[in-house]
Order: sequence, then C-alpha cells, then structure tokens
Amino acid sequence: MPEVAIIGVGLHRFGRFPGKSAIEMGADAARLALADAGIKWRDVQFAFGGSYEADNPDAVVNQLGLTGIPFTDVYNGCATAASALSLASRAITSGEFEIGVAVGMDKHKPGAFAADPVDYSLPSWYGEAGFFLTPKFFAMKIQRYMHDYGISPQTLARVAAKNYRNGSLNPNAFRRTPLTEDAILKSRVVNDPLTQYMFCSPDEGAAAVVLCRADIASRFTSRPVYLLASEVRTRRFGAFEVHGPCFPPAERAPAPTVDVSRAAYERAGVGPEDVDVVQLQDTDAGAEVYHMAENGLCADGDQERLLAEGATEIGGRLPVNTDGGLIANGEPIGASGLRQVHELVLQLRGTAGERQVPGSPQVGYAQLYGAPGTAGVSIVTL
Amino acid sequence: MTQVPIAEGLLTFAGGSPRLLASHCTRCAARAFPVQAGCARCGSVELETVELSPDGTLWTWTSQEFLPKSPPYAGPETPENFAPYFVGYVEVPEGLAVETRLTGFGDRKPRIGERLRLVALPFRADEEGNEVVIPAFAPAGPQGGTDA
Repeated sequence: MPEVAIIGVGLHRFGRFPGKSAIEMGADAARLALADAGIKWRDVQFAFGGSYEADNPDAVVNQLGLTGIPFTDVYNGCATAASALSLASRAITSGEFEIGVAVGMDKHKPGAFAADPVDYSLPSWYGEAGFFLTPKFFAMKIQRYMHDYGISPQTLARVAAKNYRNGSLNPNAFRRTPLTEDAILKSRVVNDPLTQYMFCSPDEGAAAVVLCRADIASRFTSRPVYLLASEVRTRRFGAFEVHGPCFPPAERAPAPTVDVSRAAYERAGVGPEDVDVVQLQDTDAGAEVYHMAENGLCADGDQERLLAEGATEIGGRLPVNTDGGLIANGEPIGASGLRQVHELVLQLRGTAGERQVPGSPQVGYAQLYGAPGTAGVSIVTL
Repeated sequence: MTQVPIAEGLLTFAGGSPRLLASHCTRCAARAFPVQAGCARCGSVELETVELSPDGTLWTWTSQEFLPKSPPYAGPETPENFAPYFVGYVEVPEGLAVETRLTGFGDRKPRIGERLRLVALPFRADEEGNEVVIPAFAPAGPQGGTDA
C-alpha cells in the first residue's frame, strides 16, 4: 500500500516575467495546487520550499496566510525541487503530519550560472582560469559517451527537436516554437558537440505539489496519484562529475543518477519496464541521452536507434519529456523537479491535453541531476 | 619575463619543466588534483603532495566558445577579442584524469586517446609584469601539432 498521495498540483508558467518576484510566482503555484486539491492553506500542516535565488521561499506565507506551520527552505543545486519533495514525503511517512506542501520557485538572470568556486570546495584559480562553468562539463560527458557508444550529433538534434515540439504543445512552456534538427545542428556551437539550441537556459517559474497520507487521500479526490518513491543521492568517490577537477578513470564509479535510480525503483517496487512516461534532466540534449541509460530505461548506445525510431516521442513506447523538458521550459532550479511531477500527475490523470500520452499511462518517472553531483528521482503511479 | 603559476601549490617548475601537483593519501593511496585538505575516498587528512607525470592521454574534451563570466574568470580577453579554446580531461599514468586547458591543436580538433604533454600556458600579465601561466596539455608529437 503506498504511503503518500499527491492530491494537488500547480504550476506558474516558466519563462521571463519582468516585475514579478519568485515569491509571487511561488504563491501563485501554491494557490493553484491548493485549489486542485480542494483545500485551503489553513489545512496545510507543514511545507518545504525550494529556491536558489530567493533566500526565503517560505515568504510565500505572507501571501497565503501566516498560520504558524513549520516551513523549511531547501537548496540542493539542480536537485532542489526533488529534495523538497523527498523531505515532504518523509514528513508524512514519519507519522508526524497528514498533509503538506512542497513548493519551488526561482528567478534567474540569463546566461550560465555564476557562483564562487570556493563555496563548491574548489580553489579560486579554478574560476579565475575559466573552469567554473557547467555547460562544458555536460559537453565533455556527452563527447566521451558519443565516442564510447556511437551516438551521433543527429541524435542530439533529434532530442532537442522533440523537446521543442513537445514544448509547442504545452501552454506553460518557455520556448513554444518548434525547431528543425537542421536548425539545431547549425546553430552556434557553445561547447563542442553541443550547440545553442541543444541547451536549456536558466529562467523563471514556480511549481507546487500538495501531498497527504495515502489513506486519507479519498477525502480530497477520487483519483489520487501515489508517490511511490522520492529519493536523493550524491556522487560517490570515482564518479565523473560537474565541478570535479579530477577523477580516476580505472576506478570510475556510476553517476549519482544510477544510484538514486536504483534506490527509487527498489523503494517503489517497480522496474524500468513498468514505466509509461518519463521526465529526465535535459540540461542539454546529451544529458537526456545518457540519462536514459543511467535510469535503466535502455542500454548504453541504444539511444541512437530509439531516437531514430521515435520511441521517446509522446506517441512512442517510452515517452520522454512530454512537456518539453528543461530544453523547452528552461530551468528555474527551485521549481524544475516539481514541474516534472506536475507533468507526470497530468499525464496519469489523462488531462495533459494536446500532449497527452495515449494508452492511459500508469507509472511516471522523474529524474533531476545537477552541480556538484546530486541527483533525485521520483516515481508516481495511479 | 618571469613565469608565475596562477596559484601557489598548483604547478612546480622545480625540475625545469612544469609538473602538476597532486595529493597522495598516505592511508588509502588515492590521488587527487588539485592538492586537497582531506581524502575524497577515505576522509583521511594525512595527505602528502606529489608531482604528476607530464605525459597523458586525452579522455574527453570540448571547446569553450563563449567568454566565461567575470568574476570569477580572470582572463584578459574582451568579448571583442575572445578566441575559443579547448578544455579536456587528460589521463596521467598515476591513474587520474585531470581537468585542464588544451593548446597547440592548430586548426584541428583534439582526439580522444591522443598523447599529450603538459606545458605552462601564458594566461595574462600581473601587476608586477610577470607572466601568469596556467597548466595546459598540448599534442605530444615532435612538432607539437601532430598526432602521436
């Protein structure tokens, strides 16, 4: 019997919203999730809020109501939203609470993220000499992966084109204009082999989820979506990771996504073969390719054939990033993983509109990965 | 012009040509670059500083085609005169792949598996007129531009 149910989801559109704060977007997403659950903020017993740019995402209470509940802020790199959801889930399974909210919001400036390398346990020269950048890591990881497993640049373009196409069907997406594979391949090279249109961009937006103890979900909805697992893991010694100035190739450890994926499948009691709809961290088109394998959804190298066959399209046998993923939605870090869960809930309810996966999907899977080597996976089912 | 490394403890010229400095864990023998305060494998703080071999093979690479944000980037380029450069991970015989600038490829792209050798790459001038250098790996062929 599942322990935790999702009874409401809400999303503030991702994109650029001059004059609107991250907190305001977070409050909007929370209101939508509460309305979806058919409850009021005063019914909520606890909350976790995720953000990178907003120091105090809990400030949404100024707009939702000062009810005095425990509200804990979370920042965990690109896995921030997965961490908020994981902690919210555990607050319920601990037995202390029955109903709570996970909300994530962000408002990033354009361009690659900037920070102080010293805060990442790195020397200052790493930044001064131009190494403290995330895009080049993703480029180097897929460069080696393409060399080892025969993945072509065309496959990277297919991933990006699919995600823009899916984004064009999603009214909440940041980028809603389809792009051809040719236009993607011929756009400006950012970090070889990745071009401008193969990358997501930091942007703005918010998402929220209302969770409750599974045995009371029927009070709120006739169709709860159960959260079977929501796990977070960090890199082990030997993994090849973003902002890692060295690693031992002969002792290379699996990426944290591999570890968190196995942990999530085990907790959920399902396997990759049971998954009907998938949201993966597509920081760039290459990340979606190797994340397919790291999450056990295919063997290394099979992506070349799967993408050519259209297997990861909305109508394919393994739909990936049905709402356009990060490539079409951008990445407000605090909200990104809750956007994925929002999309999975719509898909399982059968209310995803033009981008609905056919055949009544029963199991949804979401994965996040980010600096400095942190990954999260959530698995949901009807 | 005197060459000075971009940071103390990163490079040594003690033997004449540049060598990268790394940590060697006296408990579990794990190595790490750059020098660390604690071992990433076993957590020991009993680390000694060792030199890495200047020869390696290219494990992966990419091009850096936009000017990194300053700060933290401290290179002398402007958006107008910025020239893309290569970076990569080079596997040295001590069992480590180290992240580094790549240089000396002319008009061609680096190739995974090719033999490279450590050089000190001029980066910028400091206030005293010294030439600040960063570690980089270049093709190991006799002309510095040929594949081994």
